Amino acid sequence: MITGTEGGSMGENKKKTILIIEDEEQLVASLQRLFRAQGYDVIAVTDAYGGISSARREQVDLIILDIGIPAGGGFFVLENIKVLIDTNPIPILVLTASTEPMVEEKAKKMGVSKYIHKPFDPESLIASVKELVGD
Amino acid sequence: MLIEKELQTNPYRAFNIAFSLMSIIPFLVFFYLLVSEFFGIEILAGRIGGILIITLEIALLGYCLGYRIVKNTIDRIIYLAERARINDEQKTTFVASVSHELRNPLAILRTNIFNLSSGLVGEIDGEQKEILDICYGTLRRIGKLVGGLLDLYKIETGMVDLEIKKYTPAGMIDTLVRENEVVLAEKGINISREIEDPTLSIWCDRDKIIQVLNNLLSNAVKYTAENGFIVFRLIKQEDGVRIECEDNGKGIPPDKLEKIFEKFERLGSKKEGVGLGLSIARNIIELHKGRLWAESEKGKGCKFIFALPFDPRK
Repeated sequence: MITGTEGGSMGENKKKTILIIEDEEQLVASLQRLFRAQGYDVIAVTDAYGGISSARREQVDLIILDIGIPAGGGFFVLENIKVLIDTNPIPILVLTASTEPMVEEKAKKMGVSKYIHKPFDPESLIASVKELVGD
Repeated sequence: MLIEKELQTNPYRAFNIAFSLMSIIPFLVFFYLLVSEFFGIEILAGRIGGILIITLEIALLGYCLGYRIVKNTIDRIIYLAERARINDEQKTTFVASVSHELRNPLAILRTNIFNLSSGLVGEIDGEQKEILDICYGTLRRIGKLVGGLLDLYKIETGMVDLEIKKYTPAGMIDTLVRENEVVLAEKGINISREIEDPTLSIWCDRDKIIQVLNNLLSNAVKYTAENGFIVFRLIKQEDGVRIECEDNGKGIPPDKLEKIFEKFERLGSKKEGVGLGLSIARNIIELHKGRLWAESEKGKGCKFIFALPFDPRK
C-alpha cells in the first residue's frame, strides 16, 4: 500500500528518490519531512508487498527498509528484489529496532549496504543516506 | 564417549543404569539363598540364612523406595530445568518486545524533534530551540539507557558473540582520542598516551574494546576538572596487555572501588548517565577472559585498569 508520494515536479529529474519501506506511519511522515528538506523525492510504503512492487516499478536511488514490517518482513523484500539488485545495484539501508546480531549478519549477507539501529541520530542518518546515494 | 553424551542429554538413562546395577545386589543374595537351599551349603543355613532373607527383603524394599525417590527427584529437576528454559525464553521475548516497542517511538520522537528544531516545520525562536534541544538531549539519554540495558542483558545471558580479530591496542587508543578531541579541547583537558610498543597486537573484538575505552574516557572527562589531565598507558605483560586510564579528578573512596561496577551505580552525584557503563565494560572485559578494576586515592584522581590476554580463545 502506498501511503504517500512526495517529491518534485516533472521538471526536477535530477532529484534522487528514496523508497521507504516502514510500517510505523508516524516515523514515515517524519522521515519524509526530513529527506524532503534535504532535496530528495520520497516514496513510502508500509508493507513488504508494497515495497517489492515499488522497488520493481519505480526508479529509486536508495531503499530504506525496516526488517519488522508486515506481510513477510524485510527479508522477504530482500529475497524478492535480489534479481533487481543484482542487475541494477540499489543501495539498501536497513533501519531496524531489532538488536539481534544474527539479523544484522543475515541482512549484510543479503546485500544490505548499511545497517542502522533505531532510535537513530537523524544527522547520522542523513549523512549515511548522502553517502549511499553519492551526494 | 557416546554413553557419556547420552547420559548428559537423557538423565533417565543414567537413572535406569544406576538402578539396574543396584538391582544386582538383592538378586545375588537371592541366588545365594537358592544355592544354600538346594545344595545344602552350611554357611547359609539356620540363623545366617534368616539374616540373608531379611537382607533380601530390605534390599528389595530399599530398591523400590529408592527407585521412587530418585525418579521423583529426577522428574523435579527436569521440570525445574524446563521451567527455567521457558522463563529464559520468555525473558528474551520480553526484552526483544520492550526494545522494539521503545525503539520505534523513540525514533519517531527524535526525528520529529530534530525536524522541529531544524526549522523544517516552520521558523522557531531561540527559546523554542533551547527547549527542543533539551527534549532531544533527554531522548538521546533514554535511547542510551535502552541500548545499555539491552547490551547488559545480552552479555549476561550469553547472547553476545565476540568478533575476534587481530588489532593493535595503540591504534584503538589513537582512534578513541581522535574521536574525542573536540570534547577534550572544550574542557581544556590535556590527554597523553604512554605506549610501550605501538606495534603490539592482541586478538579481540575491536568494537567492544573501543566501547570499554570510550566508557573509561567519558567517565574520566566527566569527573576531571577543567584543565585536568588524562593519561592512557599501554603496557606489555607476559601473558597479555595492560591498559590504564588515569585522571587527576577527585578520585573514588576505597569502599566504592568495587561497588561502581554494579548495575545502576553512579561514580558521583552527577545525574548524567544511568550507571550501566562500567558494569557493561567489566562484562565485556570478562568475555575476553580479562579483568577490569579501579584504583584510587581520594583527592588524587583514579586509575581504571584492564588486563587482556593476547588471545582469549586460548
